[in-house]
Amino acid sequence: MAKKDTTKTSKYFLVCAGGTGMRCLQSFVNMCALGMFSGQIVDVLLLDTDAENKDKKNAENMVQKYEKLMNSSGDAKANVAGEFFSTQINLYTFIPDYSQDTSKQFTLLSEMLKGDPKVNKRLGDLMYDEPVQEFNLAHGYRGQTHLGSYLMYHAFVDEIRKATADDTYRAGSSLYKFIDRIKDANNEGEARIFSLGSTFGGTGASSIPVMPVAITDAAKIITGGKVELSNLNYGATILGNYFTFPSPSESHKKKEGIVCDSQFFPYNAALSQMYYIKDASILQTYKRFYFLGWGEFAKVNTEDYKNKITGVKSSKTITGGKAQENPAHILEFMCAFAAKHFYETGKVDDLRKISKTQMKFKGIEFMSKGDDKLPIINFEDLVSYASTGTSGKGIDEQFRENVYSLYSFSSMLQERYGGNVRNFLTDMQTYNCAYDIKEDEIEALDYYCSYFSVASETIDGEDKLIPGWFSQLWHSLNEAPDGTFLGMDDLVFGKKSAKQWMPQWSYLYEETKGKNPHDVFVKTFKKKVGNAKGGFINNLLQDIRLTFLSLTPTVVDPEERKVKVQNAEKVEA
Amino acid sequence: MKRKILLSSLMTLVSIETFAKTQSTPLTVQNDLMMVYIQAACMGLVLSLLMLGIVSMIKYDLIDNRIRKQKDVRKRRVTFFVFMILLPAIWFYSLFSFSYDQVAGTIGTYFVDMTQHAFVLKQLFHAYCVQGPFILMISYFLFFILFSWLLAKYFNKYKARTVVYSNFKFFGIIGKKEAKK
Repeated sequence: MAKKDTTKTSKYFLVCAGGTGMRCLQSFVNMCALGMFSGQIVDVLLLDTDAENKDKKNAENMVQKYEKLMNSSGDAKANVAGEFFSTQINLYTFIPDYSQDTSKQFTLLSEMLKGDPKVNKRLGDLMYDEPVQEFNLAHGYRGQTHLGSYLMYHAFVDEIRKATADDTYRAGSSLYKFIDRIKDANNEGEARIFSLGSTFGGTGASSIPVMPVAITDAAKIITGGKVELSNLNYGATILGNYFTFPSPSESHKKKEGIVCDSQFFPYNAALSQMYYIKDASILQTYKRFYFLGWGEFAKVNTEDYKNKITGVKSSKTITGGKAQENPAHILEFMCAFAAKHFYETGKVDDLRKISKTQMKFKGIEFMSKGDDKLPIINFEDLVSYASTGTSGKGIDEQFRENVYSLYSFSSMLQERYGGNVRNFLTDMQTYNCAYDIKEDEIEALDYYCSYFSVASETIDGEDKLIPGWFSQLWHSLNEAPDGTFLGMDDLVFGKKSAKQWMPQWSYLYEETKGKNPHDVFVKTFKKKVGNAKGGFINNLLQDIRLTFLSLTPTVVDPEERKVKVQNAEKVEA
Repeated sequence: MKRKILLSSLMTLVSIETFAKTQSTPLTVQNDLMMVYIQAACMGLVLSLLMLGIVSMIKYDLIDNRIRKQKDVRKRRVTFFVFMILLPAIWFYSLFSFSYDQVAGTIGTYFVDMTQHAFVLKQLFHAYCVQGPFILMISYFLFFILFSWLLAKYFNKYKARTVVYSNFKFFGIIGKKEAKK
């Protein structure tokens, strides 16, 4: 079983910046776990200013667990959904250190007090308001993108300069390694660098505009300017506001000086989008932008969501730190697929010919329910093109099969074994199916499955089920009814389960609906696999996938349930 | 109820089939004894097929061993062995229902004259009451193993096979080494 091979050069690079970037990274990793970028190698740079951010920790944990389950049994074909966990992901992290006494504020970082402080102060005041110069940077750029872009670029370049000058520093610099691999890819013919992050927040919105320049300049420093960097192609998502959180109280504002407030997100997003489509330097550096927004659809209030799930009343404004853990959203998953589209569409020569940024849009269906508009998300909305794979099925259909399969297995594991893979394996051994799986792999699979479908947590002394990543996507559509979320019956997500939020995966397949789904699973497993002995983790995952793939997916058609469906106008750039 | 109907139907079929006799076969004690053995073997074959159907109706069980142990394999084995223990009773039931004709004075095909053929009667009695049930049980056991293997090998139906082989051990206990964990 092949694990990570860092000697192979990748041509795909992903930069995930800020809190939204972290959640987009989780979506990207899930996309890879679902076999949708099979057989490829991706180098991922995790870029954040808030070292304590829970979303960041979750993303890092997740990639670590993913690496344990990773295998190379996939086909590198764009129109084939491959095995689970069949993309090699190499993670690099860069967090500018704003925790020191000399770097926690702009005024300290820019050394304004050195030289002629009065002149420096006046210059600083020209560019930034006083509170902006003085807020604590440890929780990120707090929506101050004009400051953030400046600081991020310099943090990037400074890190590479230090690493180039000092061998010991270089050995510990993750950013240097990332840029070095981009340089190698450039030398070998092509590097596609895709940025994920929001346009309405702090770190992501600050990083995306400067990323091409920062990366290219960093690579120039490494090569000493001796290599032409003409093979670097940049793409990004321009992600509009799609969630809200409670506005900060007056006392909170007074205490912090600068606080991120979601009521300004639409304005931030609109302004930055105007900048992205008009600024000449942006249009020259980026090859392709993917515009994603949530339009008139109801936005999830992150605190309301948490209150609903945990039953704990809270109206705190959380803009960073250990408590910042927002639920996943379908738009983040779409961002991941935008990256896939960028990587797989167009040859290197085609990208070279693009002299001005291409803009990509996509309309989705919606249905009216009273005054509200409910989005209808189909698999083909995610995969961008419904090309036919080798099996004769479109990539969207193959994707459905993989999603159903992984979600069913993860849910069954939670439902029957409390998320314990070892106990599942013990049961399967009774039926003469044994796998040779290491403890750390078991632990990784336990973690991943509960992360993906549902996790159990003790809140206020009470055991509660917390919807996992995929279930959160359904919640992000305000508990999408009538098959409007990927054609899935809403019963699947456990709203009406005896144990609330425990997924009822049996509704995903015709064969398991209304029957003993565990009997159907084992019967099908044995039929497909027979007696298995001595297989590894990748064999187990392949066997599980094979089992569920041979069942018939249930697809709920919203139109059949007699809802009014209107087609959104499709816009193409 | 479904199982009862199936069982009754098959037993009826078994009785009719195993009592069919060829007119050309001479009426000798040896032939009659052979008929008893064949009858027992055939009955074992048919009953093993019946048992395959019954054990296949017991559903697979996936359950966390912290809650309780899996029961499906045990249920199948108990069903299989209880039926095996009951086989002599089934044999005697079929014997006295279909083979013994008190009015005609026959057991199976052989006319029994109680005064003249005591030795023959003893042989027949031994064949019907001792060898018959024994052959039936052996036949049932072996045919079940054979059919469950065939089902697993060629038809990918594994439930019956779990009676014989589970946890990489025969009957869950006989195995050279522990499977890797």
